[in-house]
Amino acid sequence: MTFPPPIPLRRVWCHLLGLFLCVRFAGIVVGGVPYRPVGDDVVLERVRSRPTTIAERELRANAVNLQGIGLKKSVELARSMVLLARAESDPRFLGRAESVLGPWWSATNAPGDVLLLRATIEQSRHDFNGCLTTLNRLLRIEPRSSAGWLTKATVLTVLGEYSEARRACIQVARLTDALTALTAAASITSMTGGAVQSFEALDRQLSYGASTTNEQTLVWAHTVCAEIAERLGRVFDAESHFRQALSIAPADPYTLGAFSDFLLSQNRFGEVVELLKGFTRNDGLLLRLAEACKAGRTVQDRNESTKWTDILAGRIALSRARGSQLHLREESRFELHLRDDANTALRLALANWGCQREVADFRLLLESARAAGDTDQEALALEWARTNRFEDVHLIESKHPGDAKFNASVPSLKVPSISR
Amino acid sequence: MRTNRFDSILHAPVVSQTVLGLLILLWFSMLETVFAHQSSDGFLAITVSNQVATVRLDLALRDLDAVLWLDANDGGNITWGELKSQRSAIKSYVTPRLNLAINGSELPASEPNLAVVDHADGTYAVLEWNAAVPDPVHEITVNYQLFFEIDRDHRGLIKVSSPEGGLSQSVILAPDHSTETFHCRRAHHITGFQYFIKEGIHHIWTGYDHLLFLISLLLPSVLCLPRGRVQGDSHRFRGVVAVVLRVVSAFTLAHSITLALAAFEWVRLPSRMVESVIAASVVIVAVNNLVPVFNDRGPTVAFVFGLVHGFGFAAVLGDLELKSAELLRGLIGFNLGVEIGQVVIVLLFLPVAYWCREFWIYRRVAVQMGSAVISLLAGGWLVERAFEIRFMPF
Repeated sequence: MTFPPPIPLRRVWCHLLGLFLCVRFAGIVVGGVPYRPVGDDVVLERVRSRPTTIAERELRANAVNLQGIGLKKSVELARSMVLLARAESDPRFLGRAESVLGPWWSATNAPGDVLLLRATIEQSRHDFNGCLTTLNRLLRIEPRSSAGWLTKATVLTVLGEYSEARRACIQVARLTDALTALTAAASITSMTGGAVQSFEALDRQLSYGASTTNEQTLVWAHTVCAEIAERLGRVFDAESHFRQALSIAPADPYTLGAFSDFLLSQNRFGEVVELLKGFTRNDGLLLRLAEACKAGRTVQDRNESTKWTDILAGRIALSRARGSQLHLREESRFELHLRDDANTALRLALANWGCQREVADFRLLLESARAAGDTDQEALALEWARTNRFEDVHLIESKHPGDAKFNASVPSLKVPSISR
Repeated sequence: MRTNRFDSILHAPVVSQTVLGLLILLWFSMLETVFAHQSSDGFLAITVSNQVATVRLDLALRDLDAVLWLDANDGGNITWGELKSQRSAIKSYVTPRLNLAINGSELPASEPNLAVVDHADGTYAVLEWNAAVPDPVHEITVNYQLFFEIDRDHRGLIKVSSPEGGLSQSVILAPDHSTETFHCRRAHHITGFQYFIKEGIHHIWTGYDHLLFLISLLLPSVLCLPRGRVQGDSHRFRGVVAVVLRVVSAFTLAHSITLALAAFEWVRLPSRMVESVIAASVVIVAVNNLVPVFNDRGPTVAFVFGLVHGFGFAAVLGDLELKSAELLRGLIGFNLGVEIGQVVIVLLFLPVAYWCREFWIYRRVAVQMGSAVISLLAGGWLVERAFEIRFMPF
């Protein structure tokens, strides 16, 4: 008979520290000493320079009086709000989009446009079940909604339900252009043993189909392609596709985040700092900036890291204060890389794994399990990877990420190293 | 399984047939990982004390900009000048959307002070104002409607506190739950006296320096008596009680005098000096147990140092921020609390010490070791307080 090992004292301290941090967080939320700036021209906040669409301008004009603006205009406004949310990295606009839709949001006979927007907003709030319900309503009344099918495929992929995602993706293929269909398909196939095939198909398509397609689709396709290449250890391909995506959309938050992760795994910290220093409003990017600064060599870098870490702690506290559990992934990564608290990171990574199962979520789970020395969780994660034939150079544990890349960069990496 | 049409997508010939309406959604499918940022919040803090309610409202400039267009010159920045110029507009936006009521009647609006504060996610405008409130306060009602009309996801984080009403509570208000009533656990005036008594007891029990001073004084009291070992047990106990009584009364008398002097601000001493001397008094009394100097002069020692301890109590009473009308009541209540706390300690200590006094362990361990530890501890405090440094864990 074996007894469970005693709880190490260090772990007890971690919990106490956690308690202390919570108390300190509460302080940050409530505290803050008001001040009156010395000069009238002191800049307090950066905002969007000017409304870009007519709809938005009208919203400004009647910001407080949205009653009776009509369905068409509501949808138009809501759509521009959702786009703004992304452009500004500010989810405030999602709540505003919901408000703009007003009574149509919850109407039982809501038209397809409204349902599509609602599903999109629900997806961004990680309400995946709500999102799927809304999408199913949408697809019942508009079975040819390519956007509906694409969103459904994406959500199902995030949830790790690959066979259902594939079925949705077949509909996408019937209804959209080749690059869109291919990118959607590659997103799924690359998770389930077809990474090499997906990469090659996408790479080939991008090499000769590029000029004919919409720019935003191109950014998406290049980013997906780069991410798959990175997982296969094809460092040069990955960098090339990331750079092509960023040459089209230099400020795209998703691509910036993915490219930063790539650079971080290559220990190219200075480049990350250079890349992200103008994007501190976005928490996901700020997190990567703080990590890069922490690993930096100069004292200035480390001071910067402390500053960003404190700001992130404050933002996490804010979202906890309003009862939000939205960003477990970022919180877990924050604990793991910036606070060096592997146990807390693992707890959060596990909770996150219950909600979403993307590559980043898997890596976080595996990395925090390894850092916390929890071999059971590590084995469970690897078992998941084996079952799904998930390929990733990060499956191979290495103290030196560069080595792992080198070892794994053999193109024929079909089955990941699961023999450990 | 995977040999169907799905795989064929990967090998599909290049066909360009861009479908409109999809473009936006391509973005959406990647929205996912982009945010870690919380949504819009407003912070409201209401503090009711001394018949005045202080209200502080923090609103994100980004939220205000959405309803008021703060960035008047469209420069992409909100400046302090732009914010100040919109002050009355902010007030007229807030007034109909924030209703505060005390005991059921609406809190009169008054002119707010405008400032700014930095929260983790950006700069917020701070509106702060005061309003007179009835006395006593039974309940505080908050109805928060700010920004709900433009943002269903906005939340009001409300904190209401009334130290005298024993209230400190937080809630989150949302469009479907925008009103909350907070009940004071006690009305200030009715049971205020008990409140002060409780504060007094609390202070003597948690103010380790006073406690250790008292215990150091009492530790040898059961030993130094009686002189002739002829009296009976009852006599002996009575003698011990008399000594203890004299010591405690002297301490009480002394600290009551200075507490009153300080409370009415007739005498004022620098707190650093007072706190240092209190620590020193503990050291002296504890050392005296090891190397007797004062012998029978316990009551005198208690009186002299008690004067200083009184100034220490006064500082705590000062923190309760009493109005002049309730100062006397507060003073009496607090002092009474201190005495009650003291008597309880003595009643707990005396029988135990008396019963143990014949044992070697009491003389050696409790008195000698205890006094040594206490003197070291108080010595640490003395250094901390005199030089304003911190190195002790408590």
